[in-house]
Amino acid sequence: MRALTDRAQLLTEHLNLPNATGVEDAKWERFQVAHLNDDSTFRIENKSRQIAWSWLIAAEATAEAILDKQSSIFVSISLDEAKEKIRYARTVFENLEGVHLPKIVSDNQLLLEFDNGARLISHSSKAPRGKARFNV
Amino acid sequence: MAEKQRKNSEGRAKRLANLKNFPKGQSGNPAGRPAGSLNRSTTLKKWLYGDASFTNPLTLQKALGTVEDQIVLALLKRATAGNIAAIKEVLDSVYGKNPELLTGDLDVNMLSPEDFKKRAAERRKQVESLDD
Repeated sequence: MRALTDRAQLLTEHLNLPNATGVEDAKWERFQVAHLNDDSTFRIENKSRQIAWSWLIAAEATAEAILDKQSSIFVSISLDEAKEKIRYARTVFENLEGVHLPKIVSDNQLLLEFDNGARLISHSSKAPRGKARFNV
Repeated sequence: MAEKQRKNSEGRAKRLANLKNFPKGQSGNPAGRPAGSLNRSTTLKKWLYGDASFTNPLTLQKALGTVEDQIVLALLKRATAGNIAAIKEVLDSVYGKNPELLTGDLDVNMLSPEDFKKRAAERRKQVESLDD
C-alpha cells in the first residue's frame, strides 16, 4: 500500500470536492491521487483533454503553497487558460476545510500570493523566466 | 490634438514653476501649532505622575500617591463592583490581551499546516508499517 503525501492527504481529506469543482457528485480519480502522490523532481504525463488535469495541478500547487510555502508557476497555451489556473487555485483554497489557511495578500487573474510568502503565478504561453525555488 | 498637448505641457511647466519653498523665517501655515508647544501625551504625563491625596476607594482610607495611582484604584473599584469593561481592562493589562480574541477566527478544531503535516507523517508511518 502506498502512503499518501502531505498534499494528497490534505486535498483528499480536507477539500470539499463538490464545491471546489462545481460538480455535485465529484470524486477523486485514481490518476489524480497518483499524480498528487508522485514526489519526483521531474514528471512527464500523457494527458487527455477534459480530465480536470489543469484543476488538479492548480489544486496541487495550492496545497503545496499552504503546507510548504512552496511557490509555483503555471505555463499555459493562452491567456484564458492561464487565468483558469488561478481561478481553480482560488476555488480550491476557498473550499479547504478544517485547516488554518494563510491569508491571501495579492489576488488577481494571474497571481495569488499568500501571507506565508508562497506565490502562484500563471503565465500565458511564455517561457518561464527562472526564479529560485519555484516549481514550474 | 497637438495643440491640446502643447497647452497641457505649458500648464505643467507653470505648475512646476509655482513650486517654491517659503522664504526662511516665513511660515507656510502661520495659524498652525506654535513651535515649542507640548503635545497632549507630555501634558498628560506631567499631571499623571504628580502627587495626589485621595481616599482609597477599596479601603476607604486616606492615601497619598500619584494621580495615576488614583485612576488605577478607581478602575479596580469598578472592576470589583462587577463592571465587565473594567474587569477586562484590568485583566488585559495584567495578563495581556487574549490572542484568541485578537485573531477572531481561531477554531480549536482547525489544524495548523504544521500540525497537519505532523499528522500526515504519522499516518504515512502507520501505512508503511502495514507493508512490513
